[in-house]
Amino acid sequence: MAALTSKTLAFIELTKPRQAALLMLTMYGAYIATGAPLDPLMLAKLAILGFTAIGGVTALNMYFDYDLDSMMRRTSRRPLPSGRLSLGESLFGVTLMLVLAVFVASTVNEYVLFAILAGLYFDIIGYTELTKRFTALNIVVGSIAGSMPALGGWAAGAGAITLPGILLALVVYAWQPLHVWFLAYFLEEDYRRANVPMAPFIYNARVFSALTIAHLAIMALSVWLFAYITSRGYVAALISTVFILLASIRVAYFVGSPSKAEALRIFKFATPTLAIVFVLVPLEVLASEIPLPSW
Amino acid sequence: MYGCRGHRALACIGVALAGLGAMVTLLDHSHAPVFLRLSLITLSLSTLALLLDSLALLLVYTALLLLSLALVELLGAPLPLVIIAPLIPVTLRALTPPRPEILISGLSVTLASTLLLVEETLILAPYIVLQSTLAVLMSRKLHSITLLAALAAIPFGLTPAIMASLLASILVVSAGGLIYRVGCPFKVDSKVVFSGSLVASVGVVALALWGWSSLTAGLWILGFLLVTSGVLVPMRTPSPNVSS
Repeated sequence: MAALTSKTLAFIELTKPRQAALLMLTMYGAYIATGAPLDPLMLAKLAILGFTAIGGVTALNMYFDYDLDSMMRRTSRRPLPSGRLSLGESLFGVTLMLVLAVFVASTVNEYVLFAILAGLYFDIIGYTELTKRFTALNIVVGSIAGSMPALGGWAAGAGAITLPGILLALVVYAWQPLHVWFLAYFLEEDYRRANVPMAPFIYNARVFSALTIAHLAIMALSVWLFAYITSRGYVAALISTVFILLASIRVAYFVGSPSKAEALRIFKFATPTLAIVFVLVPLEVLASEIPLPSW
Repeated sequence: MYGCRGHRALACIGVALAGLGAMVTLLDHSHAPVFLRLSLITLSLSTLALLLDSLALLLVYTALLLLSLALVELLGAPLPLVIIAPLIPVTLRALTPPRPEILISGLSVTLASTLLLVEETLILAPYIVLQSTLAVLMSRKLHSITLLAALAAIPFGLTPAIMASLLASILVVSAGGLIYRVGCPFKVDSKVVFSGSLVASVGVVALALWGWSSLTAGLWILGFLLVTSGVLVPMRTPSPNVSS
C-alpha cells in the first residue's frame, strides 16, 4: 500500500502540477471569457481535462526526456531519472490519462478534442522530438502546445474555434519566450551539460532579448485585438499592457547588463504577466453580465 | 546518400504530416477521407524515400506519379498509367542490386495515390498485403500478422479501412526500424508504439462497429499520434537509474 501511494505521488509529480495549474488558469479564463454559463458539470469536465490532458502530455514529455533530465541538476530528482518510477509504469499512467482526456473531451465537443490532440502533437512530436535537441528556436514550436489549453477552454465555451479564442491562445504563445528563455539563461550550465540548444546561449543577449520583446509586443497586440473584437477586456488590456511594458523595460535593462540574477527576476515576473490577462478578462466578462445600477 | 540530416527530414516530414492530416479530420468530418488518404500517401512516400536513399530518384518518381494522376484525372488516360509509369525508375533501382522492398514500397505509394481517383475500399487490400510483405522483408515476421489484421477493417467502409491502413504503414516504419536502420539520431520506442497501436486499434474497432463520432475518431487519432511519437524518438543517453 505504501509502495502504491509513493508511486501515485511520484506519478502526480510527473504531471508537474504547478505548471498545469497555470495552464488550467488560461483554460478556465478563456472559457469564462466566452460568456458561457458557469455550469458546474462543464467546470468539472474542464478540471478533469486539465488534469488528464495537460498532466498526461507533460508526463509523456518527461518520459521522452528522462535522459536529459538525468543530466541536469535541476531535474535529476524527478521521478524517472531518480528511479522512483519506471518507464513502463509512467507510460501506463500516461496512456490511461490521455484516453480519459479523449473520452471527456468527446462529451464536450470536437474542437476541445482537437485542442487536446494538437497540444500532444506540438508538444511531443513538434517540440520534444523534432526541435528541442536540434534548434535554438525550439520554443517557437513548443509554445504552440502551451497555447492549446486556452484554445480548448475557449472552444468549450464558444462551441467552436473562433478568432477571439485564437487571440487568447496567441497571448499564451507570445508570452512563453519570456518565461522559458530567461529561465534557460539562469540555468545555462544545466542546458549546456544536457546539450540542449537554447536561444539565450546560442544567440547573444541583444538578439534573444529583442526576440522576447517582439513576442511581448505580439502579446499586447493580441490582448487589445481581443478587447476590440469582443468589446470586452479593455481594463485587462490596459493593465496587462502595463505589465508587458514593465517586463519589456526589464528585458531592455538586461541587455545593458546581463546577469543570472536579473534573468531570474525576469523569469519570476513572467507568471504574473500572463496570469493578469486570464484573471482580468474573465472578471470583466463576468462583471459585464451584472446589470448596471439604474441611477 | 541524403546524409543523416536528409533521412531525418524525410522521416519527419512523412510521419509528422500523416499525424497532422489525421488530426485535422476532427475539424472537418466531411473531408475526413480526403485528409486520411493524403496522410496515407505522405506516410508511404516517406517509407519509400527512406528505402530509395536517392533524392534524384525520389523526385523523378514523385514527378511521374503527379503527372500520371493529372493525366488520368484531366485527360481520362487509363488508370493503370498511375500504377505503371512511376514504377519504371524505381524498378531500375530495385534491380541492381536486387532490392524487392523498394519495388513493393513504390507499388504501395501508387496504390495509396490511386485512392485519390477511385474511392474503392478494395484497393486497400493489396496495399495492406504489400505493407505486410514489406514488414517480412524488414525481418519482422510477427508484425506482418498484426498488419494483416488491418484487412478486417475493409468490409466496414473506406474510413475505417484507411485508418487501419495508416496504422499498418506506420507500423512498417517502426517494424523495419527504418529510421534507426539508416543510422540517424532516432530510435523506435517499442513500448510507446505498442500502447499507441492498442489505443488506435480500439478506435478502429469502435469506429467500425458504431460509426464516426468524436470519441471513436479521437481514440484512433490519439493512438496514431502515440505511435508516431514512438517512431520519432531522438537517441537518448542511457541513464543508470532508470529501469524499463
